[in-house]
Amino acid sequence: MNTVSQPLSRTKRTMIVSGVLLLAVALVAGVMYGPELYGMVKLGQQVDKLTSENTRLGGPWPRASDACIFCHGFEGNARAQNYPRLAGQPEAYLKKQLKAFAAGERTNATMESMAASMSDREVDGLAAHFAKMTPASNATFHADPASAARGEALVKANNCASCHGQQLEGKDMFPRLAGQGQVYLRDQLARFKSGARRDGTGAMPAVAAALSDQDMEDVAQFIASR
Amino acid sequence: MDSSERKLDAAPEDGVLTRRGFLGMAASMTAAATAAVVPKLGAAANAAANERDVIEVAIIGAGLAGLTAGRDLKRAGCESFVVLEARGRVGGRTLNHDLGNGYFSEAGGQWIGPGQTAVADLARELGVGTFPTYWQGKSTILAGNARAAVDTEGGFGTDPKIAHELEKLAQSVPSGAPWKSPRAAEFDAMSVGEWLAKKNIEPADQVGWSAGLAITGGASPARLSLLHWLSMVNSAECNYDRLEAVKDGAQQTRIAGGSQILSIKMAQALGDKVRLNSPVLRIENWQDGPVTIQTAKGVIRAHRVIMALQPALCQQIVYDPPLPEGRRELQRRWPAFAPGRKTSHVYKRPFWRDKGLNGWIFQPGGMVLWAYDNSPEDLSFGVINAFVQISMLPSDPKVAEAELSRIYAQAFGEEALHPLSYHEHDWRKADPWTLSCVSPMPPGFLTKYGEALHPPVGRLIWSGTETADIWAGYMDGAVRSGHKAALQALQGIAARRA
Repeated sequence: MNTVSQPLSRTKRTMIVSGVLLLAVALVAGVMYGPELYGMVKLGQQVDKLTSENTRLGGPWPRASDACIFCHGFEGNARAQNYPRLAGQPEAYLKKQLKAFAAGERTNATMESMAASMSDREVDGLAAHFAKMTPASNATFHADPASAARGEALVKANNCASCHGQQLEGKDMFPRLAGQGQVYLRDQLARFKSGARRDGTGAMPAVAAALSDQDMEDVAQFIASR
Repeated sequence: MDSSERKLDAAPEDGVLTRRGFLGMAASMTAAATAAVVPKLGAAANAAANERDVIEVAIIGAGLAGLTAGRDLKRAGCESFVVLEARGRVGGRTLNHDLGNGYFSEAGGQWIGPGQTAVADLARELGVGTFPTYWQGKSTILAGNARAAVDTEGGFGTDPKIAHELEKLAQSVPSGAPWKSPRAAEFDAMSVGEWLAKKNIEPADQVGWSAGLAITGGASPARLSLLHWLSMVNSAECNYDRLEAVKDGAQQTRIAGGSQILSIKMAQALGDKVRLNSPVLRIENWQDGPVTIQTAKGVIRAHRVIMALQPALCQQIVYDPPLPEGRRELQRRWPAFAPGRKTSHVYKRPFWRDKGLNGWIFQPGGMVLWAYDNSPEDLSFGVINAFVQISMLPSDPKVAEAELSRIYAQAFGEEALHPLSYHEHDWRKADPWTLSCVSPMPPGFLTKYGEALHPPVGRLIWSGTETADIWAGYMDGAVRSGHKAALQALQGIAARRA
């Protein structure tokens, strides 16, 4: 065990993102004027706006849902295509997936340990939270028109809407697909096909079994751009 | 480091060796004295191994821990070992971006700081230079369309009053075995966020704490155990700045040639003992040995195994028979949820310095967690590295580069729009052999499963930075854990020959 050493002298330290405090320090120290002071005031306003918006959406700090931002984005709207978007996913689906990860029934090295560290109450809270978030359009994905057109035909032929909804918006145990990350969608289809991801109803392995690699790419292109 | 003695004493197979014996070996391991004292032991071991086609030690993982262990074995005169690496390269969680003309920027672990003497010694022994991280000048803070530049004096501006409270509490939390703290149960029952919430943190400061804990601890405040966080503060000799800051802190010093150079140099010296592209799939007969190790490139048999990889990666290997329950649960639940994505923008020069800026950007509510100046020592060009919210940066590197360039332009001016080149590494995407940067221990984990982290299980010796007594999670901890594992392996060899 280490022994404590004397803390360094800490003079005129400021919180880096605290608009209010920064402003106070700047004024007292008299080091800021003109545009610099204006920037500080504006920054303070922006940070205040951000924190009140975060509290409105996710409750008081520290928020459980902040744990999900790294991979799933702000309010569950990831912009990278390889991480799943959680915004607007049905509550029952999210709960089921978290429990499956915790039990090792669905495998993913990141999510298994994450879900296993959560209490039932946390799982319920997170599922309810992300179900309430508004799904943003997948604006960072730009579909190849030919591929997406082939994908649309496959989506119709396989009647994906029968479980996932007319707009692929998801319901109950069936996930929302519309606007989901393209790489994530393609990977999950491949995992259903290989048996790496299971589905109690048997529907997804059956659908994926008949799809070629190109088919999976096309289907993902179409769905991601919905 | 008396805790390591206790752990060694507790190892079942080591009963024949007295504490005095271990201490004698520990003393002999210091610097170059090693090779002079232990060679007889190593030579005898080599002969035995040749006879039976069973090597003395198999090391799994050619990162800083595994290569340090291999280097120590060699210096002790033991030649009967291999280092098995899953990837096609060495270095583990250190990785250099090659910027051309002999310059590098890091995609993984990269800094060393005060008190990190193990990695500093290693660099000196390998003839690798170091230089200061640049922090002088004003940091830029961006939120929405607002911008401000503030001198944060080489730190992240943490409230000194609260930092001091954490320093006090950290005194009772041993860095290498936090579960042994007399207040372990109390501290592990809450998150850092819950503790901070009781301190009535101003709403605006909550953003700062969230960013600071994400960068240093790898998780959000509600997900990090207070006990774990205090153990990290304890690693830094109970000095909060030494943990968190650049100036006088764990981010103070950079490594010439990029941090991966340490592993590259060690691997070069070990030659064909390092086997790349050899992921270990299955480990059999680990209780009494010889242990059978099945890799993608064939079978290795060894008397003992140094597992120089983090616990969540240990879990990807099949064990026959299965590991004891405590160890299995530790591995299964080990938090592998701090994936990283790091970017590098290369510019003709570090032009921001001319404007009195240090190249740092904080962007609350944005995709940049922290951007910083990672220019080469001779300033032949300027580099801005960034830790980003991996989900918020678009997948297409061209688009990602342009989005970041616009953020940098908001911070530093128009020159930032035109980098010479862009590099990025999304660790979670690149390969399955990393999983996580640091290990953000959630509340309740360490007190429940921590005890299984250190003690060897049969012939398996656990190494990797997570097992270090000091600076666990850092490059320094990796080097320390490699030294310790080599001692444990040599102790096993000595016991067998006795």
